[in-house]
Amino acid sequence: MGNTLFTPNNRVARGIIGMNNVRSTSSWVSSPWFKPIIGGLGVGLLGLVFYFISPFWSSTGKPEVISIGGFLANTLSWGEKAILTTNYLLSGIPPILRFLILGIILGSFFDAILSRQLTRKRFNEQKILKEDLVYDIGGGVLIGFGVLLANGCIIKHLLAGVPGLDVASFVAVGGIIIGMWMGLKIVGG
Amino acid sequence: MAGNVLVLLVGAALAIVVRRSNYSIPAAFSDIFMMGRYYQLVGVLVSIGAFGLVNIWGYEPCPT
Repeated sequence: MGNTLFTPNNRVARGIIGMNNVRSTSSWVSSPWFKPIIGGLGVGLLGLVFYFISPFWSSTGKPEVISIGGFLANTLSWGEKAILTTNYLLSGIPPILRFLILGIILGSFFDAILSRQLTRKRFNEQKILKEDLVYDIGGGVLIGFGVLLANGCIIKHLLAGVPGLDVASFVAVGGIIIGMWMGLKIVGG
Repeated sequence: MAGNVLVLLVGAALAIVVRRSNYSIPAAFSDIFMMGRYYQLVGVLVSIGAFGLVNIWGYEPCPT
C-alpha cells in the first residue's frame, strides 16, 4: 500500500519528492543526441588539454596536436631507429606521443575491468570473422599509407586542421569522406 | 617523467570518454554513412568547436 505512493506513474508523488525533474533529465540522457554531444565535448576538451600541456614536456618545446595515426607512425619511427639505429623509412618522433598511445590502451583496459566487460573472445565469437581478415589487413595497410601520405589521420585533420582553417585539412577530410562513400559502394554497407 | 604520466592520463581519459559515450570521430563517420545516425554529426561538430577555442584565444593549433 505504502509503495503505491511512489510508483513511477504517480506524478503527484513524484512532484512532491522532486522526481519529475529526474524523469525529464533521464529522458534527455537516454536521447540518442546525448552521448555524441558528451563524447564530442570530452574528445574536444581533452584535445585542448593535450595541446596546452604538451609544450612543457615535448622534446621540440612546441605544442603538439592530438592525433592517433600520426602518433602510431611516430612510434614506429622510434622502433625503427631503436632496432636499425637510424631511420630509413620513417623519421621524427616527439617521445611524448608514445605515452598518449600507451594511455589510450591502458585506459581502455582498466575501464573494461572496472565496468566488468573485460572478456577474451575467439574469432568465431566476435563480429570480426576470419573471412574478413583480408579486408582488415588491407584496410589497415591503406590507413597507414594514407596517414603518412596526408601527414596525419582524421583525428589530427578534423580536430586541429579544420578548426585552424587549414586548407590542406579540409582537403584531407573531404577526401576521407569521399573515400568512405566509395568504400561503401565497393564493399557494401 | 611527471609530464609523461600526465600525457598518459590524458590518453587514458580519452579512452574512457570514447568507451563510455560510444563516441569516436572515425566511428561517428561510419555511423553517419552506414547506419544513417546523423545525430553523430553533432558530436563531430562539437569536437571541432571545442578544439577551435584555441583559435579564439589566439593560438595556432595546426602545425602544417
